[in-house]
Amino acid sequence: MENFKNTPFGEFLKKFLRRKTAVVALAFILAMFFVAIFGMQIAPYDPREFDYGNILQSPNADNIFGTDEFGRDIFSRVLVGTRLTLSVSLTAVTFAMVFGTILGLVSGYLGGIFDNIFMRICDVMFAFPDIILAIAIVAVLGPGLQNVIIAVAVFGVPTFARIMRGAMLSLKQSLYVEAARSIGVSSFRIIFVHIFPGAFSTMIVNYTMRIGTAVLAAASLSFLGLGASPTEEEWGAMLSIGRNYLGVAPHAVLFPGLAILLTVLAFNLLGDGLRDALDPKYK
Amino acid sequence: MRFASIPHRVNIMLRYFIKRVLQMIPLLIVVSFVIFMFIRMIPGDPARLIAGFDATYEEVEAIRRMHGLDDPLIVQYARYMTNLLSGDMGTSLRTGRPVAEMLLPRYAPTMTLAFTSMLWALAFGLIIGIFSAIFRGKWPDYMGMLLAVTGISIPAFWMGLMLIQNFAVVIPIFSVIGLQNPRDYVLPSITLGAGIMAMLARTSRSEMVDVMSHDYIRTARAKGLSEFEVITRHGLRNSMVQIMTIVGLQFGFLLGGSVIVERVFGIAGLGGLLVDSIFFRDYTVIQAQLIIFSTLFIFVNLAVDIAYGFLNPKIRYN
Amino acid sequence: MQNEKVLELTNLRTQFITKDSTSTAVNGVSYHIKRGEVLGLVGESGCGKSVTALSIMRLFRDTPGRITGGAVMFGGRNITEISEREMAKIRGKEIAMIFQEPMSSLNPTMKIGKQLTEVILKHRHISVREAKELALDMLRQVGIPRAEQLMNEFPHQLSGGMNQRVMIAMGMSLNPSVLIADEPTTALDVTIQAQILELMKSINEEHGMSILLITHDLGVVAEMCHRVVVMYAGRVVEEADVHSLFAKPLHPYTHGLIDSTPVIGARIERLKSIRGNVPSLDNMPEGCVFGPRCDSFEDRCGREEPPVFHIEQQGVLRKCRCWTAESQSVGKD
Repeated sequence: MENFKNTPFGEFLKKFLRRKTAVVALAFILAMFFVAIFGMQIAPYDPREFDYGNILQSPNADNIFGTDEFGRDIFSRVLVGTRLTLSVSLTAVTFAMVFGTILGLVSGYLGGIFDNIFMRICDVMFAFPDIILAIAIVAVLGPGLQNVIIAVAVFGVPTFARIMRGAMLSLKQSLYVEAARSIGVSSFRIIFVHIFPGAFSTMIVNYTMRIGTAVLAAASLSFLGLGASPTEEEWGAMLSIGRNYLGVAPHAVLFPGLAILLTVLAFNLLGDGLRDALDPKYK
Repeated sequence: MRFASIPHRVNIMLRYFIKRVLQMIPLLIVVSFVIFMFIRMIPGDPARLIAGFDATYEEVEAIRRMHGLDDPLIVQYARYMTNLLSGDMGTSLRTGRPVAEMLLPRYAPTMTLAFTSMLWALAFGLIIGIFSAIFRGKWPDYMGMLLAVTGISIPAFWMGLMLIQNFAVVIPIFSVIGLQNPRDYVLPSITLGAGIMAMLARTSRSEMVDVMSHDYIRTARAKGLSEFEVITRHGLRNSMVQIMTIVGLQFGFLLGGSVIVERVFGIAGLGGLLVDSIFFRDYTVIQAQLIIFSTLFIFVNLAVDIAYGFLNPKIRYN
Repeated sequence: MQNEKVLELTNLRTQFITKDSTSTAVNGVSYHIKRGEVLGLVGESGCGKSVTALSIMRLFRDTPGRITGGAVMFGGRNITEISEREMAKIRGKEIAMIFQEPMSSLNPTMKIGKQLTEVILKHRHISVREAKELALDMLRQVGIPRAEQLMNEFPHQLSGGMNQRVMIAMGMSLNPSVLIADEPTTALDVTIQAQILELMKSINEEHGMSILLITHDLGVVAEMCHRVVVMYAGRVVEEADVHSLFAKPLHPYTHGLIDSTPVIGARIERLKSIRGNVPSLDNMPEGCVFGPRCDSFEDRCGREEPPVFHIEQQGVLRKCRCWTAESQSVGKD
């Protein structure tokens, strides 16, 4: 046990646990995953069941978040919507990370013309405001959640690519890689054994933070009517419909929005906590 | 003898300025080319779209020849750019009006909104960031940074709707929708600026913490300056150099955010038009707007770069 | 030279306290500076010599450093206990300090003139114009040839030596009783080093300003100082006038330091070095802190830490923290 405390992971854990907000955020995210899996079972009502005798009810004992314009229970819809939110953002960011990592590694490894062109393309992509890029992609591909995933993934690629490229470039010149190469270790092995661990902490922090951004972007696109269809339990789409009844049923806007806020907040706080715990400069 | 050196400095600044503007041209060409090609990737036949769905094959072909849509893409791009330079952005597929004419009344609301948002975001972001840095590890820091992370996490459309609900519906201080008088900019500006305020607070905090650990801050303290003087005379000025570069990047965030905020508050600006155009697949308008947005973004970054040169004497002379 | 003590540290203890650990950088240090004297403070890096200087100036804001014991007497007051506001009146005016890195110690975005007049205007109620005149005068006094032009320049336009001259001008401008110079020449070229030292020496001689010169370079000490305090691992191990110290070092550590300094003209086969390493602040050896590296180590040294013994040689008092000095001792701290 004493030995464990002195391992890098033990050090990390000690620093991470000191950040109370990050620990709370992690607990919240784990709870969200639970809800995402068992949402249908936990939900007090069928989120798709219409009840025309009970529309736009304010929060009460039966419907703690109130009901929407079709009398559906908003609490149940928010719970079930967790799965959609998490799967869209996780898929998008994972795609971004995989493609960004490959492109960054290849670009940094090859160098020269390819690297130059690729970096210019990244510059151009950075020249576009994130959400406008996503909107433009959806404009080409057409509305729908699947295209939202693609759009959100595409604008995440350059960030990941830059991190990996930077790690590749600095490690390509570092001594221990040179040493490994000189004793005949294959390039592939060098990438996996030496470069991934070096860039790991930056990647994990960026991954976590990106999920927050992705949740916001996906919800924004759905709010604009470019993402999920109004029938789906997507928080942004729920809000988009709910705004038509803002004056009479503000709760229809309040709760889905609160769910988005807390989700993004949790991922951002977790990302902050991870960064502080992984950054050797930070104590 | 001081005066003799001034024209020299101006000369250096001018040359720096011209060099930066010239460097921008290739980037602008690349960006506009990417946008142009990107729009061509949209499935569907543009000639068919212009002609309408009930047009005959002959009519569609006539329109294709008339608009030069059968030319190679590179020729089409060159023609588009030449027209663009003379202010012609083509004709809207939806309304049949010149795109430039449609865009014209929409600049002012968007720019005013962006400007007012940036102004309050800058003021509050700096104050929060600096206070957090000064009281690092104490409660003002925790409060400030919690506020900042919330500002980054809050969905703008939801915040806008909540502000409308509370300050236009329940307590009717502001109007629900549109921009009739200057007061109507308040709620949209708060909504649009929140995220930037938060990011500026975080950046200025970390910049300030970094600057305050430099040797010259210790010198300033060793001179017997009060901590307030150390912060205002030595800390702030030096951290501003870095903060300015962030402001440039945030401008892109502002343009992106304006799409949503204009939608929420029913403002007839550029962002609102972009969303409408996507719904109606009005590609000439989408293309023109994407080019305008990225050009604006690039120009703001240039302005920031130049301001950076003014603030940082090292760059000024190199 | 007068014998009046302008600044006196008694039993000063400075610690760096964080959530996880407490390390004692300065542990019961006592020494004093007389009026008009150049006192050398010598030791390897990490021995706490710079920390004693920061303790005198109380420059620990934004660091975990705290003075946790002892006193710094200046002008009849213990300045470790006065308010921050009172302390600010002393900094720059009564006690000035210059640092190791002249380049980074000046604000890169502020003109030299502004940085000079700032300290003058802070402590003296004179007009900006008068302050500028005074600043110019100071720049000329520290041997800067084109002073007027330089007032409008930025630190990065100047060489390291010029910047250190500016720092010295800044330190002198209010005619303080004590100037603390923390490794003022370490970051400079050798030829520039000599010029800066010469300048400091002339300031001491002409203005009678006391200088606390912190250095690890015994050559600089021999050149500049009247008296020397040797520090090791947060403690004073030896104190003597410069001639006695070089003629006959009493402490084995001082001995080692002098032996490991190359002497120009002397032909030595091989430079001696002190074996072992400086102990870390969190892991001090039992008994004498120098014990593990000492050639005259005895059983007693491993058990008991020696006190500072006072020794009189030819009517001059010197001090040494070593059991070997016990037999000649006339008293102890």
